[in-house]
Amino acid sequence: MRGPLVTDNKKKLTLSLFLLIMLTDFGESLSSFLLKKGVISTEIFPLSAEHIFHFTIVNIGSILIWLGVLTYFFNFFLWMRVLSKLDLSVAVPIGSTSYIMVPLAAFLFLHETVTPLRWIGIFAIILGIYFVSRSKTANDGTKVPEAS
Amino acid sequence: MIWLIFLIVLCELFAATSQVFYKKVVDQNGSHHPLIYISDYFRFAIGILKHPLAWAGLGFMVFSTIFWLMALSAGDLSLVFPLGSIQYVLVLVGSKLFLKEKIDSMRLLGTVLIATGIVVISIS
Repeated sequence: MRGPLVTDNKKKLTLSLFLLIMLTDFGESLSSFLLKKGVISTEIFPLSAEHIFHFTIVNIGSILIWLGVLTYFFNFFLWMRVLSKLDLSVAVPIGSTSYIMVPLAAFLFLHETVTPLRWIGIFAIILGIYFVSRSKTANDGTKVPEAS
Repeated sequence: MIWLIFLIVLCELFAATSQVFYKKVVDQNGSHHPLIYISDYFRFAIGILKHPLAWAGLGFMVFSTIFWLMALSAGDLSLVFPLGSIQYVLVLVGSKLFLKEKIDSMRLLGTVLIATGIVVISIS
């Protein structure tokens, strides 16, 4: 006896999910960039309440820092949305697209040379993403026999 | 040198732990429901923020980031960046052990390829 068709679309990688993962990669880079641009370093070592307080006072008015924190927070929810639709062991590896986008963008738009070894790395990551996206999940729309 | 490696492993372990926590959160509160109305988005966000594991995950991520910055400022970048890719292995182990995800050979091979690719890119 055949069981019901499991149409749990929770686990399927779709193009829109893939693009969402790339967006979270981009958001992560953007938030680090804003935080890095905005932060004014003060002496915090040796760690003390006074040093941390001073660091906070110096940085709390920075718009770039707040934008960075806001981006981070927004990105967190995007990532949670991704995780609600995919296995963790699928979403995290595919989230490695930023490693290839940066050298590829530098090659395409800034005409930087990419060393052969780096091309090999890029190719390995692309192939890896392809394999992970093709891997089977527990509920990927296949028919499962009903438990008696 | 040894303590730098230890620091990076700790950093990636915390990052992987935080990811496992995040996944537990969305698995437990039905976050996969469709988002159609504005109220759905709010329900999605509030459902996450009400879950203690989300805050635990964020806490682990904060410490992971601090360890990462410490490693970057203390160590040789050509050692720190390649070692960072052990996160992919740790997440795979965490998914298998704590989330009971099915890891077939395709997924294993793909993840190893990605981790290797990152090592190659960061040392080249």
